[in-house]
Amino acid sequence: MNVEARDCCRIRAAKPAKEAGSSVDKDPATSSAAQLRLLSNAMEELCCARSQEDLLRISANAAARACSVTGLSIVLASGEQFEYSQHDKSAALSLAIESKAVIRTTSWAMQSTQTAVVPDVQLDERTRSHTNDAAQARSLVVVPVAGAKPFAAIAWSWSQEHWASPSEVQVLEALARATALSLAYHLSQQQIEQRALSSGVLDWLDDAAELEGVPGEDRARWAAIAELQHRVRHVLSLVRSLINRTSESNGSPEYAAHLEGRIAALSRAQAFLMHEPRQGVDLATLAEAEIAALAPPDRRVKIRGPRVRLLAKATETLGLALHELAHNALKFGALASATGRIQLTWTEDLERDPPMLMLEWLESGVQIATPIPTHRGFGRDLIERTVPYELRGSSHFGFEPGGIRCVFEVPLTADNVVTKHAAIE
Amino acid sequence: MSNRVTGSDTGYELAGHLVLVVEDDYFIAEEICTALRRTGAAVIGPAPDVEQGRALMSQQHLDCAVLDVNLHGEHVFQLAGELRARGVPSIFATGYEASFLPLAFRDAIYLQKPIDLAALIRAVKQSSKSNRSQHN
Repeated sequence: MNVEARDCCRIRAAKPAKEAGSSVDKDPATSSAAQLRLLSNAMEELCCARSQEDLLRISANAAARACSVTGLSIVLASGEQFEYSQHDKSAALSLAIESKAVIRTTSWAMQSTQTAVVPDVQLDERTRSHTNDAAQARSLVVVPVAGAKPFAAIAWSWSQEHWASPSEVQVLEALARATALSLAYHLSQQQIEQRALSSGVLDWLDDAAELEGVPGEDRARWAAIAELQHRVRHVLSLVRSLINRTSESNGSPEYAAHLEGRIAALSRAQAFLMHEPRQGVDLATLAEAEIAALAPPDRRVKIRGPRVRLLAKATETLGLALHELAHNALKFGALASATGRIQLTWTEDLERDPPMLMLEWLESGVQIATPIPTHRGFGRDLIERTVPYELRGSSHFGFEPGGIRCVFEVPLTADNVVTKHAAIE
Repeated sequence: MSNRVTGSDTGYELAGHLVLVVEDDYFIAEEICTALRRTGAAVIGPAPDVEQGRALMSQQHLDCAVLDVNLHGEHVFQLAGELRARGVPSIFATGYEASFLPLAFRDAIYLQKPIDLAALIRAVKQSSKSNRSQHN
């Protein structure tokens, strides 16, 4: 079938004998040497093309000079289309090609992996039914690029009837390959540049959805489910590390209770986050919940600070840290005695770069055990290490005469909190 | 390469291996690093974000890297690409599905969170081995 088709187009490509003398006669040797020079110049230019438009123009101009081609259309296997018209010197990128004859022939060429030579779209069986647009493209040479599974077909067109000679077809085949390779390079560069611009997880998930074949309108929902799945697995990982680390104090009868408390704190943070993940979690609400989970609200505890809305990581980290502080207060500190007090206050220092949240947990009225505990367990680790590591902040924990004092500094950056700027938008 | 201490010499499976760890959760990072150190590996990091991971990457000749994918809302694939350019294979430890990995990293080892620490050790051994054989 393919062989027949190929023969058929070769035959059609041969110029009818009666017209043989009517074209400009050139010495075939000079002519092919000139074409070769043109071709090699064009390839050199194509290598230096600055943009897709640029490369279409270079290619179309070379084909015009070598074979009086008037139009260039490119169809990629992915469906993307490109066009350049000598007529108005315009390059159209990623637009629908108007000529049905061009579309039909490019898909034929890609399927058969053979060059299609169509001297007259009104006569060729592949294009005969689409002769209404013969005005733009009367004659065609369509070259598939490259190999057994072409990624593109390049259509050279003439607005007037043109019987392409075998040497013209050869030149156009070579030029088509160089053009397609250059285009493929530009497209991949463009893709790399786009990727480089977006290092955000949301952009990556959008790409992943595309790879998975999720239709555009379903992608937001798909990404939300993917995010939820990721969050669940992340929480399970955290739970496991909580279990492992809590068991370091194994033998202690309070192991189970302490673990349960930590997991409960983690699940509270998750519950807050589930409500409105993008709105952020109110710091005051989180702090109240962490203390209330261990001790009913009473006058011993004072919580005060401006409105701060925490994002996922900060909610989790500060939630667990506040839980450890409350747990410690209940066991040894302010919540264990009637005279104890907790003042949890925070302020924002907007003068610093980046602006900082300063959060202070200050206990008073507490009889500090002597000697001061030096044991560094998981709880202490959690309070002192997670805020610097996960939130790029700092943490200072110490024993003062009236009880524990702990100060966290958390950068008010877009990955930790809903920033004021974003809130205004 | 000949002066490297090999696992069989010491009884530690990963002795002489240099592994970069990038993970934004403190306790998960600690868990990974502890598991690696227990088997004799030297850990570079942990780094909580891409920027610090990049800074650590250039300091040594790494055998492989264990990477979390979502780091403070930034994905790790550019860093993974830079590591690959230096001949360092990546192991992705993430809660996302393996099929979400960009095509360029489909040949990398994927570990789903919560990660199996024994599988992590095997993964480090395997990817370092193929890395070393390529470079020798």
